[in-house]
Amino acid sequence: MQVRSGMRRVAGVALVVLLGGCESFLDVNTDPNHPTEVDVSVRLPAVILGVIHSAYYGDPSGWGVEWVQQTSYRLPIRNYEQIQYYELQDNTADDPWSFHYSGLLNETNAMMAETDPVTDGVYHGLAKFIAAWTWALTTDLWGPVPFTEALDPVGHPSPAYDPQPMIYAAVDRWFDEAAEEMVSPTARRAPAVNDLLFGGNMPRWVRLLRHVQARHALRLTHAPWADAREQAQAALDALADGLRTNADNVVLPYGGSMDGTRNPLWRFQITGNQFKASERTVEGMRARNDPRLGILVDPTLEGLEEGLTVYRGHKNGPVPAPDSAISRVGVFFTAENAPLRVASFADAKFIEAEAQLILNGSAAADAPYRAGIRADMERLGVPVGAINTYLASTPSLNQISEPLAAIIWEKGLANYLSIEPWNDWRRTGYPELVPVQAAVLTSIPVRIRTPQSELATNRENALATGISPDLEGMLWTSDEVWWGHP
Amino acid sequence: MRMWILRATVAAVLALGAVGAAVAQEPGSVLGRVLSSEGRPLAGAQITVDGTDIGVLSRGDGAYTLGSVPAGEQTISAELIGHTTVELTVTVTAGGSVTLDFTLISEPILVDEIVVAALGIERDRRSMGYAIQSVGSEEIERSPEVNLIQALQGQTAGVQVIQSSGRPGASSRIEIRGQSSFMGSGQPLVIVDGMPVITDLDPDEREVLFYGEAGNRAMDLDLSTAEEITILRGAAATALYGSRAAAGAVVIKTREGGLGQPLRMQVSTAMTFDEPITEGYVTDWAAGRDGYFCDGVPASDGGYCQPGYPVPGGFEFLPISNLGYPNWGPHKGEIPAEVVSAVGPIRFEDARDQFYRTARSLNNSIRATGGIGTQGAFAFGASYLDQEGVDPIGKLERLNLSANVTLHLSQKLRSKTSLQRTSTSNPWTNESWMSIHRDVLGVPPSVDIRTAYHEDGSPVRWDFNLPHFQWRAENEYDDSQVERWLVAQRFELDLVPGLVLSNTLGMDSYLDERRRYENERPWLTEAGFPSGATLQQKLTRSQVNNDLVLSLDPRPLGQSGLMLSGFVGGNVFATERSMVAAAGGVIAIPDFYNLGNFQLQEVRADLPEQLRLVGLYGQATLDYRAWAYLTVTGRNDWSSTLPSNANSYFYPSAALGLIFTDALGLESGWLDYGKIRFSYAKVGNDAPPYSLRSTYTTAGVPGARAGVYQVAPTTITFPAYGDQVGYFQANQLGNPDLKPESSREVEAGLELRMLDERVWLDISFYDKRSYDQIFSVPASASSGFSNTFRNAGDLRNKGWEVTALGRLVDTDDVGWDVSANWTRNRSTVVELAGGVENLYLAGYAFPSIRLVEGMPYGVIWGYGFQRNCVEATSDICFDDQPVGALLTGETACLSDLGGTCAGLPLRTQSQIPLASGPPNWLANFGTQVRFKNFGASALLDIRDGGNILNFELQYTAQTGRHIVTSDRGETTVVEGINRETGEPNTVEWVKGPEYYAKTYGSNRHENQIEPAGFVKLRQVSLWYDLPESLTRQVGTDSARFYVVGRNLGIWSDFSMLDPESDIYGGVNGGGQYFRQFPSPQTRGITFGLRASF
Repeated sequence: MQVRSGMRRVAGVALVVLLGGCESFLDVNTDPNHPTEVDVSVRLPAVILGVIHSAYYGDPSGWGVEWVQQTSYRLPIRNYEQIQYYELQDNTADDPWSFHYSGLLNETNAMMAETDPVTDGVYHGLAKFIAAWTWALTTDLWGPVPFTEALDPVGHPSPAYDPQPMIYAAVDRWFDEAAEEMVSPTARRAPAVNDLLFGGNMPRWVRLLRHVQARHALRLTHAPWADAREQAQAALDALADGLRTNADNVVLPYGGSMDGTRNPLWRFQITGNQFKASERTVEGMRARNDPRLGILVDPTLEGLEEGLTVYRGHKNGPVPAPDSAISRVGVFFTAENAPLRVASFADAKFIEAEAQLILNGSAAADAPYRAGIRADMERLGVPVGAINTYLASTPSLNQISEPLAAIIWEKGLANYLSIEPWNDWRRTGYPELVPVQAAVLTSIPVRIRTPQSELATNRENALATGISPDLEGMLWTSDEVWWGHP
Repeated sequence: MRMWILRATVAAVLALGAVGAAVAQEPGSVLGRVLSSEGRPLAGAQITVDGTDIGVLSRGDGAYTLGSVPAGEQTISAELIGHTTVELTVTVTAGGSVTLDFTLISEPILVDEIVVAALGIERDRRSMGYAIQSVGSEEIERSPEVNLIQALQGQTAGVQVIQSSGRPGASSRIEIRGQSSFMGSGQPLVIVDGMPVITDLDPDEREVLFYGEAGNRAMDLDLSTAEEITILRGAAATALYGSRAAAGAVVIKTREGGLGQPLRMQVSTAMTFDEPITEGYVTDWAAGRDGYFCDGVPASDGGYCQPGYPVPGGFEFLPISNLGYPNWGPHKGEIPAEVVSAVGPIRFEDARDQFYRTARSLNNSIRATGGIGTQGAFAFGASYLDQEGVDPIGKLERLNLSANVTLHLSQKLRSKTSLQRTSTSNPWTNESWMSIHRDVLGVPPSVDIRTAYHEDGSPVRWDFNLPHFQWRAENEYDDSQVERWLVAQRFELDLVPGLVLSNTLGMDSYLDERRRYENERPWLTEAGFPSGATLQQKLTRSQVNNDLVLSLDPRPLGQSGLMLSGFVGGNVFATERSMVAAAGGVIAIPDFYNLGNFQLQEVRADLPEQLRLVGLYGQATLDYRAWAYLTVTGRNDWSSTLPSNANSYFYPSAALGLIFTDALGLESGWLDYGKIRFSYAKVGNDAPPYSLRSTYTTAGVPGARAGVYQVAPTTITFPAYGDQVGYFQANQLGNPDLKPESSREVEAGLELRMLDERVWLDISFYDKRSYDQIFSVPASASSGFSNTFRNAGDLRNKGWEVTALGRLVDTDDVGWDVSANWTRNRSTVVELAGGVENLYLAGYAFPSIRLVEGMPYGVIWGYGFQRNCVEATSDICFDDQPVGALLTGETACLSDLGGTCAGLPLRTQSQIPLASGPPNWLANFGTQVRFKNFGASALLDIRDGGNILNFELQYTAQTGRHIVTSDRGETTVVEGINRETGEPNTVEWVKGPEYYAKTYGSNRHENQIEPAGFVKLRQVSLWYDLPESLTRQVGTDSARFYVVGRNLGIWSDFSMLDPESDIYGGVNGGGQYFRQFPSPQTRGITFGLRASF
């Protein structure tokens, strides 16, 4: 009996505990490892790194570099072998698309929503600048993309696509607004060490912004829906507040093995052994006796074994050649801790040269053209004598039949390995390229293929653009995009 | 929690108590125990008072109490199927109680009549309204497997076991009635002595495709402790376990002693030898190209390639362990004389046969069982397993100590304590992409790799940085060391006769210390490159489960002929897991793995992830004259993972069993017993933890080609730049509106016993719908998030299960039994989610395993070939040509391969569904023969249909390694239609590297799919029992010598013979049907001795 009543009591207590304590017992569904609120200052480093490391120097820039024949993949057993034949598999573009949207744009959008443009203008402006830059890069890759309905998962889980002119207009406005907000005197705080580029120096941010704005203004010189002269003037206006000397150059630093941040090209080059010099680029530089050749590419291993300094590129396309006989991309660019070049004074000068060419002709373009070459060589540490020799042998723009081709060639070297050479090729048709043998498309791609993830989750809107979701979509041109000119 | 539930529960408890109390006031009572002829307690015997409706079932300890027995002389009978019925007469005095014990002699039967149903409650098979199947101790003892899940392979109906590979400790998945959840684990709940235990895989941070995986934690369970394993297949059978058993349940009863049983010691020892299965690769062709020989040694090390070798420089520039190494040299019988004079006679042997070894294993156990007088019983055991793998490092070492003690603390209070302590050590060499299993496939059979080390102790290297496999296995491997406790305490109290209150509290917890070792590569150090790394993870998991149950033994309801039994109960369940990981890079002192010995160190710690559940449940069974049984159950769960205002879900079940032979008096000459069953059940399930709210995560910013490099990826993960912390919003959008997911199932069945119970037949049909599933639905990234948990989808599984048993001969000296199981499950993904046409489960970007609407669960997805007039593959249709004919190219490949594809099949522009993975049907046949002291058994296992993607073909066909290239050199014209002209293809190809590359290679996924069906002689065993005259001399009660062969015969259309390796064999919610560089499956033989004293 003793046991029985004892057990009854225990059973009773157990039932009460079971039922009464239920609510708090079950209240364990808060993730202890992932916060639900994070201040924008802690998110800033990730978006700064994101827009440069991932959006500006991401996969598409690697593809573009291959397509404009700055580099050349060599063997069919390499990863990404298809890229050299202009083939993107149906989901190859999924990752960049998803990082642009569910990474950078979603994040900067939320940062803007969480900061006040008046009292927290510096952060608001930074988020707006990075958002605008990312939007511009996104529409540069795909043309029409979701914009007005984007980033609203509950309201518009499948957002409609907007044409490029609308996005470019908004981006240009955001650049101007962000430039003011970033130096807002009413802002209560500004970033410091969490600003990976400038340590909180906001005037330098504005210079970078104006440089990027100039780049995108110039992008529209051939757009059927824009006026070339207006765009050239807009580029010049923006450059007036942009980079002034090589000291203003913007690079993203990497610590290398010291802190685990590595130049992405390092992984591709060193361990992947993927980056080989392209014959077209090597031979083009050799023809001009360009003193930068030994910096842009390494000597061949085969040559080194024989005690010779040989630079040899690989012809883009399916041409077998032993590894050791081909130059790699220069270690100056691919070292583990080599910085990524974001914006340079040389680039500014070439933008200016092209704008002058449009507005005032080739004579006016020559000075900035030469200043650009000098700035790039100085940046690479080419001796003054060699620079002067090279410049002396470089004809003036008004002496040659295709001054724009000359500008774009030099600009391509100044923007070596970035996405700009492909952008400039899409816009101007320079440099003149011969598509590789065995390519699966009849010409070099001008657009990134529609991501498979969009076709799987937002199919109707993606197809409503009228762009083929197949490989042919990579050749899509239209009056609605800046590369849409014939 | 809502008040009505409390009230309802209290009311139910009181009602049941009242029934008991009313009964207890009757005039007299009879109590006693039911024992077998060996003195073992018999549970479930039906004790009835003749001429009345009074009756009870004996409990687990054999005891019974009959209340309300009218005073006077009464005849009382004890009945238990499989035993003779005994009738005894006794005089009952009013208000008094008499003791009456029964001894029942067993009759031979085929199937245990008492089965363990949900919550460990033993029920008479007669009363079940749904299918249930048990694997008994004899089958368990006979199995040479050491993984409990693997031991179920080929033993039952309705169950498919999937292995990830042949290495010790490899994961096994078990699927009961198909996969019932899109993304959930789909794994059954495993219960040991009433306590749910963890058997799944703890994934680690690394990608399975590149690093393989650890094993699932079923490997900790010692098979020899099990006395019986019961499979609960349908929703009605498992409804009481709640959502955790949504995919079925495996209920394990461990060995225990019996009251009054004399001490019995059992020792067993077994030794196993396993050989790798290495079919599938050419063994008759030498290394080389175009028929020219090359010995695989680098030119700098004095290698030799036949003059004229078609590579610039005349030497092969690939190292031999590279998957690209060419195996296109001369045939074994046609080695040119100049080659023989240069390098001597060439030895041919598959590299895997040279590298892998015969694995030896030892499995010993000792066990003592008995009674503590009549006050209790015990079972103590210890076992040690030392299982080797076929590679130099693979091993599974397991020490298991167990104790089961039952004590009758008082007349009314019983206690049962069970305890298992396991220590498992499982080193393995990685499988899949980074593995030596992969690289060894690349070595042509003419290359001798038997020497691993030079005389100075340094490893043979085939290239600057490609050391011998032996060195790699010994210096670069993973290890998992698990210390595990499994403890349960049960109390059982007789409140009043027939009313028992029990509480079972159990805990399962373990610490898994996983370590990855990568030793220094001295040659790298010399060249100035860093090497050596470690990853040390501590995974902690625990779960606590408590069940409080009030149960009522069968009670007659007046004179209606109805008996009522049932129970109500409550369940509390809590589980948590956490992880600490330390990574080290660049080793200083070689072979020394303290983290301090590494230049780079990174530590990560995750706080415990928690999930909790509270449930209330009840069951009532109405039994009408022992031929109609109706069981209804209900359970309500409250889960921590659902929104607090919608975290409660109720699910009912009902099951009806009708023994029509008894009801209609049909017991004729041939039919002894016939039953039909019907059941319906609904089961709810909760969400994964933390899916309600969007969160932030430390940002990982992907650099170019982030998806390509798994090692030292270009992704930069914060904290970075010194101490900069950085967060991003997670890609997963939280969903605060989730509701429980549901499935419902109807089942019908028929059981027949015929010809003096010599033939048994059990047939089930089921139809299960799983809907409102909670799964991560891909969203358009342009909405800001890549996916969100949603309630969506509809998955249907329906099928048939047939079990037949026959006792063909049964005399004292000779016995012959046969058994057969047949299973057919048809799964259909009826609906995914609005706007989602297919769902990625596993694999690469191409190919992958996906879910596709309208197709079975698990579709192989990749590039197919273009076919005439088949819209999904191409937009070409030549009306005058056969529909479905291959379209061949005119010149350029639409391809990543370059060159010409003239006359070869063209691949599709986009990926398409290529084949479905699941089999048509599964069957197994067992037979057992006994002649005097000898016995033999065999088990044949059949899988019909189904497909597997053999990703190895993509690489090894174009290099001439794979057996499909045996027809090399032949000229062929692909049967197809020229895509440009519409005319039949006439282009001739010689079967060689280019042909295979363009038909089996990169993105030719359609040709990489192979049939996954097989017929396997899973087990053959022979045994000999020492005759009694001998056993007495050596002082034992019994002794058995046995030999078991495993996988001795395999017949399949799979090019590598054994299709049973699946890289996702253990991954929760992963896809399946994907083979990629597993450790080979094995065939083996076991010698053993079992003796008892």
